[in-house]
Amino acid sequence: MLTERLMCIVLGVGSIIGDIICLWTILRIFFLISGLDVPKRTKIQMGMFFFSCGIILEVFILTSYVTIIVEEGYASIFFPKYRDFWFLTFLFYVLSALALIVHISGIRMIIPIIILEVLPVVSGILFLIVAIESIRNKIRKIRAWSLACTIQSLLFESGLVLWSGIIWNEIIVLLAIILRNLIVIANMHY
Amino acid sequence: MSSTHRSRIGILLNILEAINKRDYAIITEIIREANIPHERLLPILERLIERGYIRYIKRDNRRYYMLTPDGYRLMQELRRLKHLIEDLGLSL
Repeated sequence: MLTERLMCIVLGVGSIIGDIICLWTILRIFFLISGLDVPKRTKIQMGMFFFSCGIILEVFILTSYVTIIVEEGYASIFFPKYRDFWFLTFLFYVLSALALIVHISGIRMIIPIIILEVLPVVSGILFLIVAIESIRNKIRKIRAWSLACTIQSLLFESGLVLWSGIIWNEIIVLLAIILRNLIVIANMHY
Repeated sequence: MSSTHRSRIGILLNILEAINKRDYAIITEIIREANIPHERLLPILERLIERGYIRYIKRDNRRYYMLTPDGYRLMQELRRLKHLIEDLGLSL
């Protein structure tokens, strides 16, 4: 159990770092395109904007998730000296709590749960359509980006469906995020 | 080559590639290759000369344009940018 929890902390931190690099990669292209008078760039920029928003929310949720495990005392046993890191982690934790409060407030709890269950399937199908279209039209970067998100959505959904408190399903979700980040960073790099 | 809806970067790349195609390019060749009218091309060429991306020599009352090393690097960078834009399903 301790080893599995430690694995979750490592994968969780890995996912957060990957998310931040991914965000930087996407925003770099976003601002690069902004400076050009390329026709029809708004749609791509919208996609990048929403994807970035999703990643920011994901960072908050993951930080909250990792912090919860940290609060269980594992990390403080292993890394008691890294006070600055823990301060930043707790800062993110507060921000993530705020984001979640904003997200949930005014809505019945059942709705976010349904959204959480349904959204990965819907987004997975949409990303799959984008992937097929980009393969047909030979749009290399969009193809990699959408395939990465399709794989992540499917793994994410399987992790949620099989959740039931089994820790290995949490690991599937974290691995899905890491896999998506690796594909996006490798292919969207400029 | 599509001449409609070209971005400024696309036009610039076409001009640099037109000059690079030959060791020395005269203005009519650049106009033909880059598909750009004379009156629009001249200020761009002047700006490129000012910034040190191209230079020219005069021979037989004609200007022969050529890329400088900085101009060549700019062209390479713009080609990279063009690939990125095309990989995103857009066009320069």
